[in-house]
Amino acid sequence: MRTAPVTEPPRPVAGDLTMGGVLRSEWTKFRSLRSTWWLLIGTVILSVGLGVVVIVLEISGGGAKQQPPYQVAQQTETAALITQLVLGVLGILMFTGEYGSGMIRISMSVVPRRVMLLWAKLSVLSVIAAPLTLVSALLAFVLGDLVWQSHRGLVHVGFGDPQVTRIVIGSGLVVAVTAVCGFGIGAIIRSTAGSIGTLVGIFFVLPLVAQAALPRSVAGLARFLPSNAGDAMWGGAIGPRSLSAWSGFALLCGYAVVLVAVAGWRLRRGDA
Amino acid sequence: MATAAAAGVSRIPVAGNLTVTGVLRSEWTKLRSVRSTWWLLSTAVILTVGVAAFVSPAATSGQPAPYTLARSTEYGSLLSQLALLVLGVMVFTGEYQSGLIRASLSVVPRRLLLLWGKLGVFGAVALALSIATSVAAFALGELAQRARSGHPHAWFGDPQVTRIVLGAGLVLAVTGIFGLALGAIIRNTAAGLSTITAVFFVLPLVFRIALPASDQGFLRFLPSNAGGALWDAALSPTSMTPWTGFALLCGYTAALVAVAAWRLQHGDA
Amino acid sequence: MIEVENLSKRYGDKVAVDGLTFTVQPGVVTGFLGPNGAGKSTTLRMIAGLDVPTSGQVRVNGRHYRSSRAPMAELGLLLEAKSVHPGRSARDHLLAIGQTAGIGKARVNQVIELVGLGDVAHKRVGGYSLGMSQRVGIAAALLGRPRTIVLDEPVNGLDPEGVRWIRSLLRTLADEGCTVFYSSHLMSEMAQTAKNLIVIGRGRLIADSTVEQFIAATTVASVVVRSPQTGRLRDLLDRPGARVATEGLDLLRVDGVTAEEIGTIALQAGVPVFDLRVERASLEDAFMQATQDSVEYGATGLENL
Repeated sequence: MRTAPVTEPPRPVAGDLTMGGVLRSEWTKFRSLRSTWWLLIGTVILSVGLGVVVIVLEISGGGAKQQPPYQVAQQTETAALITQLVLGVLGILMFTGEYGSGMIRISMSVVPRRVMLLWAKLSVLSVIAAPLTLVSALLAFVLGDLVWQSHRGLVHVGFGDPQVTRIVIGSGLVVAVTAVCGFGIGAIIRSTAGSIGTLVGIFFVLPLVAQAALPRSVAGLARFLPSNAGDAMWGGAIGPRSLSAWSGFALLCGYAVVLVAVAGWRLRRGDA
Repeated sequence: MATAAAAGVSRIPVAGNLTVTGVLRSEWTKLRSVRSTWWLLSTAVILTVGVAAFVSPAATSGQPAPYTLARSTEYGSLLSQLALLVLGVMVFTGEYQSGLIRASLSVVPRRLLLLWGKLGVFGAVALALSIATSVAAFALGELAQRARSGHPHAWFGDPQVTRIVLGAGLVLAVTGIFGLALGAIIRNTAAGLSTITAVFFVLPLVFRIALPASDQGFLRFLPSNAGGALWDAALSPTSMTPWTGFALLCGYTAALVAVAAWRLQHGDA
Repeated sequence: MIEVENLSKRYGDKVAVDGLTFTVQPGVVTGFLGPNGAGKSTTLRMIAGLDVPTSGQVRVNGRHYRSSRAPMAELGLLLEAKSVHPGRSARDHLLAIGQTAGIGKARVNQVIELVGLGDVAHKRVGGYSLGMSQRVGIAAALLGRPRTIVLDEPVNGLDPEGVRWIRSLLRTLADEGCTVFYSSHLMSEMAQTAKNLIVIGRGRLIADSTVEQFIAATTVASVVVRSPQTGRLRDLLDRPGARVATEGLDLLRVDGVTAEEIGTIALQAGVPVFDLRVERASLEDAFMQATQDSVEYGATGLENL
């Protein structure tokens, strides 16, 4: 006969699983890794630094006077090309880091409703990434503009020009949405190397290949690639016949939504 | 009572001496026995050759110049380049992340031998694969174009074509080794991959915007563009002469390998 | 309480777990035994809702675990020590886990002290020894003070003091009414710690009983007698059903006769007896006996060493 005493165990310390709790938990995970902070700080420094450097080079290059204002704005936001990669990797690591270390099993066992995990991670990422990229873009422009003005004879490029506003804000937003794309890719592919390879392939290599190698008839399709769609917002490095700014941005957001949706579906159904 | 038997005489080791051939064989086994290797390589090959089938040069005149077509078919190689970079970086970072490096360095204590072994095997695989892919891509692109327009353009045997096709293969292989050396230095997968992609794919874009038109010439010194001169894949208008560019790429790579060798030899595992 | 009903898990055509049915009762320490590859980890993962069963079901504290309102109050889990990001401190790691259930710094520090990591909790886990990482995992399982605790190889990497500490920890938890279910390869330890036993092999249930019953059912207890007159004693004990073996000059091993009977016979015949004891087989012997047909990854002989 097996024994089974009748005592009731002492009251558990753990309360209900709440979304607030999961959010707090994801924030702790996010802030407690040194590498995360390096990436974030690096993004700000890169954005501002590179923007100023490009402006300085442009001034010394001599072709400065002929620059239309929107082009100046674009140059201050040059760093967005790199920070797209940096924040994209940050997004990727939110899931691949857990899969790589095995932490994902604990996370999924204390948060069995896995979609909560997805939303919480996404929220933390967005809440950090969006303000960061917008502020960086703003700083980069303001500083770059200051340097531009300080040079004799060059006209101040201000926010009065609607294109300028769109470019500055747009570059910040595009980088933030790319981070979300990385997040989705990481959640789906689950391996760090595969995810980074995929992100780079889609965002950096495919546009090059499409631009150079596609036959004329379908070359226009290149503008639907995620990176080109995003570029329409701030015009960093576009191919011919790109989409209008906001349609491009909307398309990029669409890609991000699809990626996150697929990630959510995959998370719910499968094994850990 | 057990007496201390003639110690060691009764056990004859199975292991022989550490040899270069042995290390090479070992590294080949490591490379071929990981599924992701085959996934990466086959995807890259399929995509590269597939792109070539759709290629059509951006020339405006009715009949495209023969070598423009040849060059265009090699653009798909950019995808192979990405795959080889990822694979190259992971040769070392994979071992560091999984902890395998401790076993490897303990059975091959002459650490530089490990580096040469990995370099040799990976280099050979990368070279064979990229040349084969390059040849296939060109052949397919040319055949596809002939089927469309009925005009033959260029074929193997033409020295220009040979340079372009072979050049693309060589550049890809050396790029892969660049990645291997960087992975050996950085030792972390995410950091290594981010760095390598920034150097090869983002830097050219940034420089193109950053440099005013007059200074665009600097672009040809970038690792990504230097090698491109060999197959005229110039992403910038002014490339170097083909073999000079390739030599520059090899120079960058050799420098990285030297740093990796120093780091491996003098550090903790 | 953990109730497993007809649980099966198939990976392609490989059957990892095949129709398991058992119940783990609260208030007792239950051990989970099986050769490597028997399906223990797979079973534990299904209990924790990490893997989806191919068929059958499992309930923790009466309900399906994944739909619990307060999962950390229902189940505490230790799967493998290496489930921590090396760049994080133990404190932050535990805090992050606990916050999902509203657990704060106070409880986290309490548990850190409990497992003995007070001095190193602020350092990166990447620098921990195996034993320390193990303690982090155990801390995570205890954090919510759950009603059910499932531990996969908790003594892995612990020093003897740590092993003893686990033993008393598990016993205390069971005495408080917890359901304690743990797997181990350290048989001698489990024999002292666990009361109930679930044994599986090749994905199937082999035994579901108490430790004593398992040992009794699988092995035979013999009586060892030490006497200067073994020859005479042998003749005295010669009866149907008795097996007597001589070991050495003055030792007899007897099966089929109780110690009491032997003592009485010897006394009546005036045969001096210097040592008379019952030797029970160990849990390890019983386990080897019971699972010899189900060993998945058996080591072969030592000829090629």
